[in-house]
Amino acid sequence: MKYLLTLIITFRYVIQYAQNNAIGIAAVFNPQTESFGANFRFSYKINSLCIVPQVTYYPSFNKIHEYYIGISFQRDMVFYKTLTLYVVIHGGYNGWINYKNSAVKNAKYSNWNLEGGTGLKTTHCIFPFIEYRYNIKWKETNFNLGFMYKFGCKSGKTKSAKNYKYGKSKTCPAYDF
Amino acid sequence: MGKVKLVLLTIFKVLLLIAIMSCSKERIKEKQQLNTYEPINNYFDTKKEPEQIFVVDTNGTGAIVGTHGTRIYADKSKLMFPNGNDVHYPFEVRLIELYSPKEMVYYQVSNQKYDTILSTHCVIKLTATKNNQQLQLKPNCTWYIEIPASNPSNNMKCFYSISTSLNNWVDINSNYFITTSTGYAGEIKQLGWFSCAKIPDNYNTFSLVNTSFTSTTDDLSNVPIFMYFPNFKSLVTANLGFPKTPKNQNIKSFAIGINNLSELFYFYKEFQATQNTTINIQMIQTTDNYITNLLNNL
Repeated sequence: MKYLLTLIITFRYVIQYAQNNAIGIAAVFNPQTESFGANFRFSYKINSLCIVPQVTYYPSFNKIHEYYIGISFQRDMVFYKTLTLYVVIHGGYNGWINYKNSAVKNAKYSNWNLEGGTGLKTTHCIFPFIEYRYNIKWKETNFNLGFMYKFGCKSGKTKSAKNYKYGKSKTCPAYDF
Repeated sequence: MGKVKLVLLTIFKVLLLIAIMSCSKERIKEKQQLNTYEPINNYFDTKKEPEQIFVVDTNGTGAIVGTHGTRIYADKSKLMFPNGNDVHYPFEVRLIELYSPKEMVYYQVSNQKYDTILSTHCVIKLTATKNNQQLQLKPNCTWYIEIPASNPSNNMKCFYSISTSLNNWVDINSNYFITTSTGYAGEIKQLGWFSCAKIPDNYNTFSLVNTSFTSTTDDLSNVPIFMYFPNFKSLVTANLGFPKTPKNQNIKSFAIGINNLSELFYFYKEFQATQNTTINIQMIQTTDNYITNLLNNL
């Protein structure tokens, strides 16, 4: 129910603040499971937070065949020129498709996950980002390397990330120019 | 805001350090391959007590005597074909005698009435045939038999098998055996598998628990598992699900397996069930002689 409510709120803000939104894709690597996957995400801002609903899929050629559906909450912490360091907390659902092959006791298909981590991004219209997260449930990490595209971005007016001030802009800090 | 950032960053760094130090590869550890076994029936068939066949062709007065001493008074006048026709000489009496736990193991007999164990003196298969047709006892007719026993107990009854798997025995309308100087004597009301048994004395005073078996090393799907209660002279198998286990009684549990190379494996454990118990089985390679000795000493 909470998840549904979050989705509804998310949709409302998508409509209301289209200029704050970004969409992106990333390659994901989990060194513990030695698995590669793909991540799709949508980002929008509420006050000082970026809320990033996302889906990650690890295909069946990996040792762990699974997917994640969840939401990240990102907060920018450190600004340096056009770079922004942010922290992220992620919660979501994990569908572990080939759990039967694992020696993990009580392994099952449906799982809930909580992750924490950090990321680095720039302030361009199409901006790259790298994210490193730790999954508390599985005690695994994952790297996300990708890029995002900002809707309504004015190209050619890039300014440094540190010029951003929370509460004065309706866009995510990293998206401001 | 600066202090908040500093605190958050510090917390974040600590968490990140903890995270990096406690990564796990547990999920990609593959399941341990279980040892697998072939169906045991072919091996057990070579060890089974053979069926004894007696051709009855005269109207003699003596009993048919099996190799274990079972005496059968095979009265032709009480036999009929399934369609009700009378039987004429000659006809055959077929007999299988299982007097020891070992003999019952090879037939995978379970001495139980639903989920209650039965103290069992012997299990016998008694049939009659003519021209390869099974014969029956006429309605309200019985055959008199004598069963040897060195120390017969009171209140032993004739329990009939209601399953071809020999794992459920009932005593509906059955007779008590009387004790004699040589053992038991009584009337059987139907041909087929029957046992000389009883529910253990004072059974309702025992606390009962559940006992089960599992294995982290062996696939038990083709491995018969047995429990023998020496105090009750009762052998049970897991075919129907184990019956309730009386608490604080000696139990000899064992399992026998054979792999695709015809190598034998076994598991053996003696214990007393003091509460609901799951026993972990780890099969060990062995020989035919060892298993035979093990079963002889139950």
